[in-house]
Amino acid sequence: MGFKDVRMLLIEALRSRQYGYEERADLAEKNLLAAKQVTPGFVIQLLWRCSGLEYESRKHHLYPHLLCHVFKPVLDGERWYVKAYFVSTRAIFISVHR
Amino acid sequence: MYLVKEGDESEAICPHCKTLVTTHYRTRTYRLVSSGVDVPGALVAVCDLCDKVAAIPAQTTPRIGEALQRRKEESLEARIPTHLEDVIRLMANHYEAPVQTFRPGLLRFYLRELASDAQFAERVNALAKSDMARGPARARISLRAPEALLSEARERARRVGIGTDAEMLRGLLLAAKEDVLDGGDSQRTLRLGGAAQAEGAACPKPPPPAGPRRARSR
Repeated sequence: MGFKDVRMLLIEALRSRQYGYEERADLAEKNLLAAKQVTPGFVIQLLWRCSGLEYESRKHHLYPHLLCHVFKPVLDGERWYVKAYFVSTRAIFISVHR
Repeated sequence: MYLVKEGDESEAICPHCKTLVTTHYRTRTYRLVSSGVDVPGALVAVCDLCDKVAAIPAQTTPRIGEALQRRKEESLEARIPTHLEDVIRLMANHYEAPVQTFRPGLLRFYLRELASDAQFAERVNALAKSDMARGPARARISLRAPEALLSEARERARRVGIGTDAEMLRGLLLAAKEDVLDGGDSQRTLRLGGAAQAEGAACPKPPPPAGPRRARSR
């Protein structure tokens, strides 16, 4: 799956609210989507803003069999960090923060 | 909108077991560890191996947002004389509202008046230093209010010479008594009535007609 496929799947997941968040101790600070500080629409905007050069995939830090997708778009002069993966056809967001 | 329900099965990477696990959705008090905020009644994906939270569904987001918002609200606590606590009950009675639901709305309403009206603040200061404000402080008042409202009200109070939250509350309650129970400010009485109505009070009562006071018969 390439950058554009992953991006479309994440956008679809955000549109249909078929996503979740990975548990983390600093969820309120590092996952602003979970903390309701940003909306799914805003994250969709971030994903559209992202170019292929600002995307990378890497192994999950705890479970290396799974691939994480990292987007680092710039919006209004600010660099954002969006990290997610797919499990059981659902998108799981680990990070959404500046 | 996609919804999960309690008992549904799913999969997640458990940060505690550090592997892909089967989870079941359970209703728990979910703790946001770094901020120390509890989210009661949250539907979360619980790891079948360690029984800890592994993931959170999107539908729980509003609850997390509300819990974080509550933390942002500051609390105000003060002790006031019994007769000023009676003012709250008399006012709730005036609007035919349950006192428990009316009290926070009343106090927030008057805090907003204080924060936005310099002339009113001067009046509150004078009332806070009047004889009616004195008395043993036996009743405890506790209120949660948005951080911005409390800081603006405190700042205004400080500028007119009110030193403490207790003094501020005493002045505000005496102003409320004058405005509503003594019929001193019909506009404010009606506005407060509207706010009270939103909390389930009866329709705001029209202010008593102004007219020459009759001499008492005795």
